[in-house]
Amino acid sequence: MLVALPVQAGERLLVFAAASQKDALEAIALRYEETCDCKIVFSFAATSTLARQVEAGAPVDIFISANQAWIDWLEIKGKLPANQSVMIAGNRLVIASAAKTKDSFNILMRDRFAMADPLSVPAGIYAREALQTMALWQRVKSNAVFAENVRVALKQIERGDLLSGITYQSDLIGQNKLHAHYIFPGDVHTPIRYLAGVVKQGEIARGFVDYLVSEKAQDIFTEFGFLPLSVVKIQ
Amino acid sequence: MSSFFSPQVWEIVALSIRVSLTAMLFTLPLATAIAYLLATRRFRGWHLLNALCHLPLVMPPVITGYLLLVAFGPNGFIGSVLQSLFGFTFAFNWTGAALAAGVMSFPLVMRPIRLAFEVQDRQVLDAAKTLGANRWTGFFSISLPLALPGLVAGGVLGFAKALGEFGATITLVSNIPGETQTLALAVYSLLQSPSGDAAALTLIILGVLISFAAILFSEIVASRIASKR
Repeated sequence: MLVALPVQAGERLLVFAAASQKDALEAIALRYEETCDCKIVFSFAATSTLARQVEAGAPVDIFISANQAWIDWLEIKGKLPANQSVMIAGNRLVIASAAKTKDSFNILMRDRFAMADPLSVPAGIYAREALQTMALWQRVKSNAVFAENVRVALKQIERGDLLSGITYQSDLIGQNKLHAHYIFPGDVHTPIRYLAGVVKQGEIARGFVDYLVSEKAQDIFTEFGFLPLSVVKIQ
Repeated sequence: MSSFFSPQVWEIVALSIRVSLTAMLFTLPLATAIAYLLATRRFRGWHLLNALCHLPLVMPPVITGYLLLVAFGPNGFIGSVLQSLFGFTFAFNWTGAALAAGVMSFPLVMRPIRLAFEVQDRQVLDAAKTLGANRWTGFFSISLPLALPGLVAGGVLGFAKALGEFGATITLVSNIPGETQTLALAVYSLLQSPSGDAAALTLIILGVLISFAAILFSEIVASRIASKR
């Protein structure tokens, strides 16, 4: 089941969530629905788009953000209670490639590679930050091909248009052609964290956010390539 | 989902068609009125109105969507008035998707209609006037029927554009399955997951077929009308 259909069930919970977490969140919601008389409906889009809609008064129960900044912004706007949002998972940057030879980040110097736009797209911003910290950016930036989002970058590598590219670790789940050629250390860029905030206070909404940090949900996040909280908190 | 006949696919297609038809239902009369005005009158602010009508064609859709959100959202200056006066809201339901689609397709609907009015022979109208037809009779029994190919072309082009609208829609009404998730938004969602390619392909094929059928239909109707003259 790839598209959630609204069915007649108890309470309906509307969740705005970062598009990159689609598969994991849908899997978690299916499990949660077994335990509650409720139906979880997701609207997946870019975090920035969704945050502005919450600010404009969207009738949403839960907001799941791909970074801290938009949570802070909604707290300032009075749409989220201060300091109540919880971290639910993390992610890592990787160099995705189908190349057999393992030459770590040197692959970026060999040939053109894909990455998300470092001016506007979070995955691109993290990638540039990492390469700058590692003193590689000046050497490789002329090889970079910018994509409007990280999935487009992934498609370019998958089709073989480009030898490699910088994506999230979670993007490689379900991929059989590509592997993580190199995993960036967690301390070379701003930590990639996903947070959930309850916009419309309610028992079921709070219940679902609690469920997101439960062991069962964390296992599903891990399965889909995200970093579970147990790993995030050590970093 | 990868089947053409699964209920999920049809829910998305039915919603998209409902959104696009509703958008055309409101856009067509308004576009016709403004097209007639622009084609037959010269007035102070003509260029301003003409430019305003074309704005959605050239502005990034995300800007149009954002402006609509600011205006028609629950806290927006128009949205809050509609809510308190009529208890009606465009926010985050299918009518908002129709609003975004209608605004985005407006220039495409208006242009062919304006051209259809512009090429009309003014002498026919003048002759009708000498025979006692007033302005309204002249419009409804001469100008409008003569502009019909333009209306059909504009309406169908607008319908196809509304069907494919993405940027303004997702910015205004989000991406809620069964409510605001039209065909283009569903394709976007499916492409977010590695397992979604096959299902996305189904929707892409349907989208191409519907758009192609709409354009084909409008061209045939337009040429039929033209050949009857």
